[in-house]
Order: sequence, then C-alpha cells, then structure tokens
Amino acid sequence: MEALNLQDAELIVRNMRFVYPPPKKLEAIKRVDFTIRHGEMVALIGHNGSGKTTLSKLISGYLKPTEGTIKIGGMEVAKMHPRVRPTVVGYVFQNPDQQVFKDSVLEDIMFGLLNLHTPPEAAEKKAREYMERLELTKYADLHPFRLGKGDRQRVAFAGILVMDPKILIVDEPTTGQDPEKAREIMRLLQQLNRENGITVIVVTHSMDLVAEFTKRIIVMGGGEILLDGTPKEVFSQPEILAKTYVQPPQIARLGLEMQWKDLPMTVDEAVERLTAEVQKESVR
Amino acid sequence: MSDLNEVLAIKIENMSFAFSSASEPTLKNINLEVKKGELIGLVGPTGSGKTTLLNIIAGVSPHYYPGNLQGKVSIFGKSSLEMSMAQISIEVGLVMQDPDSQLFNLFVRDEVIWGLENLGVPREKIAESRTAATKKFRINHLLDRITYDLSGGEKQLTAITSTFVMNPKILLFDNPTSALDPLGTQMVFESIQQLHRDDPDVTIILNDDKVQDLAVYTERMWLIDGGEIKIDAKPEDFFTNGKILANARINMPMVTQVAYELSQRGLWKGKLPLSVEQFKHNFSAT
Repeated sequence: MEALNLQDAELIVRNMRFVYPPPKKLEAIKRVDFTIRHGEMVALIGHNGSGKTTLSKLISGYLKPTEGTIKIGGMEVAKMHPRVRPTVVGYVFQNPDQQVFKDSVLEDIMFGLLNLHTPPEAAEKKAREYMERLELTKYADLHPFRLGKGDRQRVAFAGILVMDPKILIVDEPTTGQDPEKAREIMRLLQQLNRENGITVIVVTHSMDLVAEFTKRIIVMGGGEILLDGTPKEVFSQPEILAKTYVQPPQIARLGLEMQWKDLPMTVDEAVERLTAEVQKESVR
Repeated sequence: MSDLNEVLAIKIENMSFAFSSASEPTLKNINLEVKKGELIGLVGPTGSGKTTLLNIIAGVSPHYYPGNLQGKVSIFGKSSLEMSMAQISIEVGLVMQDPDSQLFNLFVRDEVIWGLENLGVPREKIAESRTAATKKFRINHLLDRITYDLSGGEKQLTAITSTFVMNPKILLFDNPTSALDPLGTQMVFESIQQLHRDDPDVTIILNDDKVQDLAVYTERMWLIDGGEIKIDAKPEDFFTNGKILANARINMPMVTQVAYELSQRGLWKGKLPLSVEQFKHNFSAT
C-alpha cells in the first residue's frame, strides 16, 4: 500500500498517455513526463486543443491515464479514495457555473466539506473563513447566480479551497475578465501560493500575466510538452512557441528585437536596462 | 465646420443617457463626430459606458433598452430617435461580446443569411452575398458545420459574417475577442483589418480590452471613463495622456509604456512607439 505524504505533495507524472474513449479515440496526451515540486506556481500554456485542459483533468483525477502514472505525495491520483482526493488536489473549472451546487453562497462553499463528512459547524466555520478572505462575506445568503462572473469565480475558488488541497489547478481564470480583474485573480493565486504554500497550476492565454506572476511555464502543443522552463527561457524560443500559436509578451519581444540575452519580463526591467544603456552612452 | 459635401457617418451632440432604472446617467455630455470610413478603437474600464455608447449608436438604446436620452444622435444626418430600430439596423451592424447571443441557426450556412432572409431579399441575391461574405472572412470551410459546435473564434467569425452580409455602413464590435484564445483573437483582428482595407467606406468602432492591438490596428482611439469621453486622439497621441489613462486603469501597450517612462526621465524624445518595431526604430534614432 502506498502511503500518502501531504507534507511533501510533489506531483510526478511518468510516461503518461491519454486517449479519449471511443467514439472519439483522440490521443489528447501523447506521452509526457514531468515533476512539479510542492509549493511551485506553474503556468500551463498552449493553443486550444493542445491538451492543457485534458492534462489538468488527469492531474485532478477527473480522467484516468490510459498508460503511465500520476502520483501526488507518493500516491497515484487514480487510486485515491474519492473522499481523500479533494483534500489533495482541487480543480477550478473555466466556467464557474459548472460547479455551483447550492442556492446560497455559504451553502455552496460548504458543499464539498459536507460531502467529506465534516461536521456542519466546522464546515461553516471554514467556509466563513474563506468567504472573509475572498471578500464574499456580504454575499453569504445570495444565490451564486446573482453575482457577477468575477465573484462567482471566487465562490468556486472558495468551495475548492475549504477542502485544503495541496495542489490547486485553475483553468483559464482570466478569460473573459477585463485586464484589471485578471490581475486581481493572479494576485490572489500568488497569495495562496506564498501564504498557504499551495502548489498552483494555472492554465491561461495571457502571456503578460504569465511573465509577471509565474516562475515556471509548461508549454503544451499537440498533446506534448514543447517547452518547460522559466519565463525568460521559454519566451526566448519564439519559433517553438509559434507552433502552438503562442506569442511571447510584448515586453519579451522587445528584448528579442533588441537582441538582449536577458529578456525583460516587466516594463520596469526594460526601463532600468534602457536607462543604464543611455546613460552609459552619454558618458562616452 | 467639416466638409459640407460629406455627411458625417455618426454625429453625437451634447448627448447624455440614463437607464430608466438608474439614478445616475451612464453617459454624460458626449460630443463626437465620425467620418465615413474611420476605424476607431474604444477603451475604458468595466462599467464606464462603452457598451451603452455602442448600443445607442446601434439604436438598441433607447429603442430596446429604455432610458432617457438627452441631446442628439445622428446616423448619416438622420436623428436616430426619429428612425425605427429596423431602419437603424440597415445602416448599423452590432457584433456582440458573446457570439452565442446572436447565433440562431443549426448550420453556419443558414446562420450567415438569416438576416437577409428576414429582410425578404431575393434568393439569388442572398446566395451571391453569402458567397462574397464567407470568402471575405474565410469561413467557407465552416458552412456545413453546426453553429454550437464551433470554436469560440469560429463562432465570432460567423457572427461577424452574418452581420457584415447585411451590408451595414457602420459596424460596431463590442468586445469581440474577450472570450477567445490568442489564435481566435488574431483571426478576428485580421478580419477587421482586411474589411477596413477592402471596404474603405465602412465605418468601424471596435471596443476591446486589448489596447496593444487597438494601438496598431486602429487610426483613432477613444477613452471613456465615468461615462465621459476623456481622450479622443490618434493612437500615437492617445498614450501621451499617461495620468488620465492611469486613472482609468488602462494599461498602455508595454513598449509604449517603456518609452513613456523613459520620456518622463528625459531619455526619450519624439513620438511614442506603438509596436516593438517602432520602438526599435525610434530608439536607435535618439
């Protein structure tokens, strides 16, 4: 019997392949190998149909690998008891409406915990704690569908977070949000990663946000991992990225165009570097 | 006074608008003149009134969403309040944020001509228009597909084609790329640019959060904040208003921002760049 180690919930994917069952028979994941250490914040990028969402669902146990294994904290996700798995890995759907189960925000957030047989008082306490943290307290008695999309998404986050997962997978939280809301969501994920030590895997199309908020990027294309590295490393490979219809953020493209070895990831980095360059030039 | 021979495509004079249910006006004292064939980008924070402005130009407000409209809105010289919704819709086409809200048919081939059929256009003419429009937006390969089975980008292109086929003289796009992946976004922007090139008489207003793309694709930009037009300028001048943009929480394109910061330190002279290429060119010039 494998023992589950939640203190070190390392994610290890080995030789894993996934084919959707007939009639689709689509080989969505061709064969991937990678490890994500406990406490990392990783972005998963690639074009639609590249296998990002399938991979997310495999890691969170909604799908089972056709071949190979996915282990978290030493135990195979596919073999975890349904009441244990949500305390190990949580998945927030792209569309928060797919995970609304109850008629009020409070009950909805408690729903998962009650299914894990948590006593109602403890479940409510926990739910209220996360409602406070995600600024949802004022909505406690409202129906989730009465909230705006950003707030509904935070309700979905809270419903997953109350179960204390060690790994949080968030599927395209920034799509359909305006730029400021999108940054707020990324800040929240960063905070959860830093303060709670949760591993965060975020699926996104926004390269500006990836460059600013994450330290590692896994690039998917055609069911395979095309690149895996820091934003600076990944964005210095525009040709490979183009295969999966990803363009480096504009600030990195500026660095590429200027032929800098060390690509800037933020406006400030570029400004400092150019200021130094101009001043050096004027001294000469 | 503008050229007397040329009627403005859109003229808005001292216009304010308040929804019937709201205590505060959504739009305040708007004055805008748009010439035939302009391609304008519209930006502003959520809730600033962008969609309401487009809805008013399209006649959806107050004809459909009631409210109190003060001032005057003219479409090719005619007051829009004196036109019926049907009359306005012949002149103005509106592509909405969520393509699902304007796809009604099972097959793409039927969707594309649905508006024309409703107008009672002769069959031969309909077939002709469909061929031309699907070719323009490169969706010929989608004709036999089921509309709800399309990708987001394909749905949006289908919605755009269905609007374009009506041959509107003014086309309004309300956040057409917000739900799309980068490939879908590129498809939509390139189609709009192509349309602008092929039909220089069509007036286009594009509301989109992707400021970086608007800076490159459009020729004039509006910032709307708190229901008022705060900036109305060419893209290269638009971004010189750093403080106003920051107040509205609108990010400049990243390269523009770099140049703007450098200009604040006296290290950048001349026009602000709007693309990486322009940046490199202007930087080596200084």
